Amino acid sequence: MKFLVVFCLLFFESISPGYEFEKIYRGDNGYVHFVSEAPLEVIEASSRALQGILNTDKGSFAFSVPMKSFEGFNSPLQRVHFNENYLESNQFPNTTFQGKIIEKIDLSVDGAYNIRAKGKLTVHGITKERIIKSKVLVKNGKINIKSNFTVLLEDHDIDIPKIVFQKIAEEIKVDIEINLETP
Amino acid sequence: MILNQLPLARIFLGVFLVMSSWLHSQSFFFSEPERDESLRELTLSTIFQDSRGYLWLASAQGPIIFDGLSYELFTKNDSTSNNVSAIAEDHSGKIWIGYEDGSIYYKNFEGLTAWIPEEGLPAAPITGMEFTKNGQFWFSTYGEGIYVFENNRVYNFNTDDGLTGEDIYSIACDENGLVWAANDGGISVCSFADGQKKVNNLSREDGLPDEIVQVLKKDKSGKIWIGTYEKGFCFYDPAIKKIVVPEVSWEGGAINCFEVFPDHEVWIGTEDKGLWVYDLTNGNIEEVADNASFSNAKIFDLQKDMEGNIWISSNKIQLTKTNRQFEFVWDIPPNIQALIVDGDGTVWLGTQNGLFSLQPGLQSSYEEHLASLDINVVSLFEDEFGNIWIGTFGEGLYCYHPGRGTYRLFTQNDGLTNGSILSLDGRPGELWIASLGGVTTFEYDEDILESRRYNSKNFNQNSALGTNFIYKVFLDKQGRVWFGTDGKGLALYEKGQIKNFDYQDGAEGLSSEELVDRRFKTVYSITQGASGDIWFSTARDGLFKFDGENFVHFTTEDGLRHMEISCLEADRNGNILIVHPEGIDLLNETTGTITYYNDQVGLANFEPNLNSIATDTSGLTWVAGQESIIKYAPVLEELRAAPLTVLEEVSVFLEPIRKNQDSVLNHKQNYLTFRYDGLWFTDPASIRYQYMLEGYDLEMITSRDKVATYSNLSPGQYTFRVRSTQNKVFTNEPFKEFSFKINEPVWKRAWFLILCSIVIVVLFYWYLKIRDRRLQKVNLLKKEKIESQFETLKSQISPHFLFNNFNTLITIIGENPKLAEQYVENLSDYYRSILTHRDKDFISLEEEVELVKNYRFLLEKRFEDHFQLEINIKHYDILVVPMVLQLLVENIVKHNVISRSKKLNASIEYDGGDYIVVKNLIQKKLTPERSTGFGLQSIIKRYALLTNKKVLVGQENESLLFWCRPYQRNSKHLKHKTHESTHY
Repeated sequence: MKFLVVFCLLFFESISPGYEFEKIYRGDNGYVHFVSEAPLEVIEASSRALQGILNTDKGSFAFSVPMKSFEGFNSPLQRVHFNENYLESNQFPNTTFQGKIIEKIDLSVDGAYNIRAKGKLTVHGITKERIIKSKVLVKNGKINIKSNFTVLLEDHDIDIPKIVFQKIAEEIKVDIEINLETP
Repeated sequence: MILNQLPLARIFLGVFLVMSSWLHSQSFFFSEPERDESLRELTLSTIFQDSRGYLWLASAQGPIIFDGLSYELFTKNDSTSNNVSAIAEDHSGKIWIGYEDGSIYYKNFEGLTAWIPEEGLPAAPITGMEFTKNGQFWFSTYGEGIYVFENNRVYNFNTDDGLTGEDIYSIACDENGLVWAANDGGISVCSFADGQKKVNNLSREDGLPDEIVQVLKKDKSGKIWIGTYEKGFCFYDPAIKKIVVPEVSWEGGAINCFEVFPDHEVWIGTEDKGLWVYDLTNGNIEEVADNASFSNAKIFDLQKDMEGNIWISSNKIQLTKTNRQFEFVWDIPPNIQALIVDGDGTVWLGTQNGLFSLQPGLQSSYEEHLASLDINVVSLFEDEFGNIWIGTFGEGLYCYHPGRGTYRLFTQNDGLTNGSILSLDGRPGELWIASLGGVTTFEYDEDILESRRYNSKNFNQNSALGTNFIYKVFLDKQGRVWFGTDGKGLALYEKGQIKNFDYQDGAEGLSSEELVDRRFKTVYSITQGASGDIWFSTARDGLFKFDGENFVHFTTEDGLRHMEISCLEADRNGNILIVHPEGIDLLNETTGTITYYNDQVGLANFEPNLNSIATDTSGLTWVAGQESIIKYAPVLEELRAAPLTVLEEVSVFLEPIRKNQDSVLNHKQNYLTFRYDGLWFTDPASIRYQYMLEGYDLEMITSRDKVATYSNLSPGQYTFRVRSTQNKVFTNEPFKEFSFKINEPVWKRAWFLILCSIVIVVLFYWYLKIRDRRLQKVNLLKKEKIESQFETLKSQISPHFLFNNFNTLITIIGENPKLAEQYVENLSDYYRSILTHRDKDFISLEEEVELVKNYRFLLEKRFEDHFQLEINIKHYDILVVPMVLQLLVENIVKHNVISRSKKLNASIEYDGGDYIVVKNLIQKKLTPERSTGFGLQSIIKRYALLTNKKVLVGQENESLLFWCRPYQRNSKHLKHKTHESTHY
């Protein structure tokens, strides 16, 4: 599981010599929602299985969501197609995003921030570097992150048969929300 | 528009003061453009010239566009910071503005528009923007590294990607499309292709003198100039792919900006040590200005324009410019009359008070030679042995060797004809001397000063020269010798012969126009252009060109500024320098364009003497004026010689329209305003415009206005053309054009007119047809009527009818004479009625019934009581066709059997309804009467012509009904109608 690997990495870094104990925030049950607005059909699905971890000292983070956790397609068959044909969820079970925040902002201080996260987005086993704009709300040791962005199917080698093409947009709109807190 | 809302936004200067101040530096002449008070407060940092030619200035209140005279400030329409930190232009000509707060805007038709990528914008100042040839948009930040925008996605480069620092001071794009980023750790050379980032770092190991690199600037030759924080500058040479560090001792500290004149020099702006110029030809570096204007100044930016000016923004002088082509030496001896530059580059100056020399390098001062002689020097020449020949006024000719300090005086005793030597020229083995006593030439094989051996030859007024007063002698590249004479024009020595081009002598065979073109009596100065043409100036008649066959005359009408030209010289770029009391004009030999340089570039009160111009071995021209010597150094790149005309805006009823579209206007959009600009930063106030609206104006209009307005334009095709000039005349300056069409109103357009005429024709045709049909109908009616009358008459006077009647009469005459009398009366009434009603279209039903009653009487007497006709009319107030009822009754009698056993009953009824009904029992004769069929048919036809109501014939039980509609007396329609029924 990629997410665990990342988690471990971050964890090890945090206890490596020369560093004080670093502030790590983590959260489960984050919300991911995507919508594909193609001319013929609007497909929507969402998941509540987004996990995330954020090191506010270094500005580094990792997020992951299992693809099979997505629900809410237009039909059960569509969900099967989503997992088996397009995203190949058995082979590539998770979508992950990990990297660093560009702004040098101390996220352990209460406040609302607009930040940009630069990192590697892995969908369908293909990794692309992305900058994702997010709204961060820090309050009482809890961090709420909201963001939305787009994913191009082409960027991640997600092949859609020509006939289905009319039904699936080339650009998928994604929005997420997650709450993180110190363990 | 945002601009209208902000008071500061539009700043136009009502009065443009020619110069607010000028600064005498040792070598350059700086001038500041006039500015409004509110602008003076601003700090201008980056200067950028767009492809149209406008200057963009970065300020803390927004970007400012500047055309040389007026400024326009653009502000964002949101509340974020207007502090501009970078300006760039993309390949489509769109201007992009980067701000301190990390936002990026672009300027379009409406104003400033925010650029909002999905990934968001930096939170750090934008320090540079580059548009690469492959369509990528790079921008650097101070704090977040570099970003690249490609295919709608923004990507970031920072230290994680290999950058040596995230505080990027400056970026530059090299010839291979790689983006160089200057930072605190050296230079990171970045590229982005197929989603892959590549970063190569250059550090001290690669030859950088200092790892803190503050500025990068690519010049036109592809070199990238690198300015460091502490260790001066160097450049990357793409030819050898190496960083080259020039061997100069740098004392200017941190470098902020560069401007490069390739192969000539590099201007360097520093953080706190002012402005420096690095000469690429000799490797010297010198600080500009010894006065206070730039010393210890922070130079924000340097930008050259397309006219050879360099613009400087600094913390001491907000904005200033200098024309790079002119350098000045201000510390000079007075009254200079002659100037030459010898082979070593030493400048020799002949003055009224002796001979002086000036060493190369502008900072040095002059030195006097032969001071003991106290000579008045008017001409100078250096021969191939390094001797300086000194022509004096009235004191003969000196030959002086500055190295050895030896000299010799030549006088009338040595072959000269006069002691006043006005001009000298020569080539190896020959010296030509022009004096007030004609021309003398010395021919020699060895250094005359050493050997004193030479042959002299004289030409005086008795030769073809025609005068002893020779102002100028000039040897051209072909070895010909040209003389400028006083009053006798131009003379040429070639193959041992002197030929004079004086127009008076050669007057025969020349037309009056050609004579005018040869009005060159007194020739002062002669030079040869790059194309080989001889150019010479006259005392008062302007400039002439001689191409070997024809003379071309240039006057103020051709763009010359002054008719009194002091001296001429050809420069290395194919221009003729025309020096006159008001400055210098540059005439481009190829295009004929004349460019003025005046007090705006520092040439006020210039007024040089005849021999005060010379070109050195490196191609630089030196001219000595009254207060300064200028070194004219033509920039080695192509400069704009004429102003650039920009058609800024076209408005319809003061609303700007897009120039590339909307060029078809409707007939109401007939009030057009054209705003144009002539960009000439060298002397913006000198611009004049010439414009016309083709299709409206019959000739060009010359004006200084930047706006032309046309109202009430009638429909048609128009082209607005405008051009600008800086030299008062218009020759070959290119036009800027805008073509548009004002449409005819709909009712005047061809298709509409055609449609209308078609409709009219169709309507007319239709009318004719209807009329025709009605006429036909009327004719037919007439014919029918006549026919009917004829038939009626015919039947009434037919022998048969008369016979019947007379028979009846005979029968009753005997038995009842009284009845017979009555019978005859009825018969007579009947005929009279026929005669009376014959010609009428209609008669009243009453009259008709009267007629029928007469007829009935006759029939009743004839058939006794076997025939009965009942007349049952309730309303008489209608009209019928005459004799229609009588005809029907006659028909009944004609076609039915009437006998004792078969009595015939018929009736005529009208109850005020639509129809009169005439009916009878059908008792057909066994042998039917021969019938013309006229009776019934005639009635039907006549009714059909008179009305659209039909006459109906019907059979009901045993009887034949025949009815037809009578005409109402008050009917609007025609006449009336009848109806009837008849029994057959």
